[in-house]
Amino acid sequence: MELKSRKHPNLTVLALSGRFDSSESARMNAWFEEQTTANVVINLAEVNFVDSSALAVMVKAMKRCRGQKGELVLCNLQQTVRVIFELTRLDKAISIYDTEAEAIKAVG
Amino acid sequence: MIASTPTASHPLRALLLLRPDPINGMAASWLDLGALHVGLWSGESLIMGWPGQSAPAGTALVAPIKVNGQICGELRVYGNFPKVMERRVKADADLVGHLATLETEINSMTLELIDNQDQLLALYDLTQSTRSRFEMGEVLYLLARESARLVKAEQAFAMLYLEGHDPVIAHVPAPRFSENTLFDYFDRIRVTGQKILYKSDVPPEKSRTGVQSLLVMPINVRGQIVAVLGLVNKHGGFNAPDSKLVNAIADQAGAQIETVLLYQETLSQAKLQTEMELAQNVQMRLLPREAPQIPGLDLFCGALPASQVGGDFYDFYDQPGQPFRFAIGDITGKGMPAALIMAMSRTLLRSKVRSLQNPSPADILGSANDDMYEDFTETGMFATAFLGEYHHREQTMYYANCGHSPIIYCPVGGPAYIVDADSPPLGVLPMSLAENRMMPFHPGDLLITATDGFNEARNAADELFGYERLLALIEQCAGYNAHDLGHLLFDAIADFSSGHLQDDDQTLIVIKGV
Repeated sequence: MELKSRKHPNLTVLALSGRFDSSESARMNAWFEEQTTANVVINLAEVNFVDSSALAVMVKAMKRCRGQKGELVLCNLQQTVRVIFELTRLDKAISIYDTEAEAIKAVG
Repeated sequence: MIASTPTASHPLRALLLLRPDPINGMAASWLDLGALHVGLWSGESLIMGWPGQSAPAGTALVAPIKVNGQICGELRVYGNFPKVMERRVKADADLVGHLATLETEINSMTLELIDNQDQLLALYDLTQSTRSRFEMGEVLYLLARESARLVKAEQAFAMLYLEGHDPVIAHVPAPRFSENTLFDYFDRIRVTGQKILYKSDVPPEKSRTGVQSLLVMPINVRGQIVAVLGLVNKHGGFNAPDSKLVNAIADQAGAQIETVLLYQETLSQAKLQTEMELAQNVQMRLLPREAPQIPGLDLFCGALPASQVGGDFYDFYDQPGQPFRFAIGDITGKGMPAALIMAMSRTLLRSKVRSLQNPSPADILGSANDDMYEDFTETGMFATAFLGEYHHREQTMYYANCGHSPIIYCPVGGPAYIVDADSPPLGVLPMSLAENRMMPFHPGDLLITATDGFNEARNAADELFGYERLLALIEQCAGYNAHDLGHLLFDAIADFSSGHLQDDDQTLIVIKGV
């Protein structure tokens, strides 16, 4: 999985691509640990697969952001990934936006 | 080890002792020519004379004998010879010198061979003595001790450092350097890839460290420098043969360390494997082996654990005066952490069912979420869970679903569909959003609760089994009893994913109204 991040004044946009599975958990947890902004937008446009470990990483990151009075949101989910968020009802815990601009506007 | 040579120390004496014939021949030839006396001299002392040990007075032809480029004696020939014979005396002296030089070379080569053989034997001993040792500290100690003995160094040390582990250090006979100093040597050698060779001109009594000479050699394991072997203080310093020998020992040490590491890795893997099997065993015992007999229901349950211990669970709660309840869930992740949280979740749900007053499914899951939220947050995990409650008289199933899938409901005549969750999994939000839902549950109606090991099973082409196949299969076989349908589902997944490793636990409860 590829990872690109971009800093905005009070938020970080993280664009991922590829498979987000258990083999990426350690790296992704470490990445979130290093973040200094309380707001994070994850753009999943290029992610074609997430497993339960990936969901756990995102939930952990979401709790971390909220602990710092910030928020973590997602955007540009592919249909297969969106289905997983809907089935697990994690879409009720983490806000999902269609576009990155909407996501940035929501937390910025 | 042979400490001294078997020959006399003067090279000419040695020559006479070992190769007397050519010298005797030469002397006899001079005597035949009319010489009064022929002698090999060292200064004014006669080493050997012909025909006897007493030299006559008078003049002699004299030529120096050089051995290894140095004058070490003379050939003197007494007699009445013309001046031109001096050339022959000189030629004979050169010949004697050459023979003596050859003899000393042979002698030193023999000594070197004996020494090499001794070192080879010592290396063999070292291999023999370390091969049965699988404790790293002991192996390093033996290496240091034997190196010091072979090279005749006062002290020796060996240090192994593997990233993420404590260093293993051995000193013989006693530590001279601090761990920091050893790390300095280690780091220098790792950067340069070269041995450290040092000799001080400061006399020992004036030296602050007391280190007169030092030789530190890298030890390679699997192409990386992971250890060093150091020798301290040898009379006269460490020479090239010492370096060669220590290099050979270091090579041998690398092989030995690798063997020990392999042994330790195999051992810890075996231990881990045993522990995992034990954990899997414990976990399987926590799951009910058989479904209870419940009026109005035909039940089947089963679990097929993946090679790695996972976090699936299911449970039945059949208490007098209470409706029949059941739960199924899946902890994120695999391995021991998931297994531990699974055991905790199962116990907590049991106690909630027992302790709460007439709890609804949403009450039970909500209360469990309250209790476990912090633990889940701490461990970075969460658990999907479905809890159902069957009311026989009403022929109704009440349930709450915290992010769990697949839950499939297939009323008589179909179609089968996925029962959505209301709430995210347990441990995601501080307050559960679980709601109580209900579905009619008449004879022939089917409820399949499974874990994602079913829909996410993959075939050899890496395709998912998926929800569509699962729904179609259930509709098709809705007439089967719970037991047969359960086995059919397990078999279908096994057929589909043959040739692909089972990634995840497969856990299933089949409930049919009767």
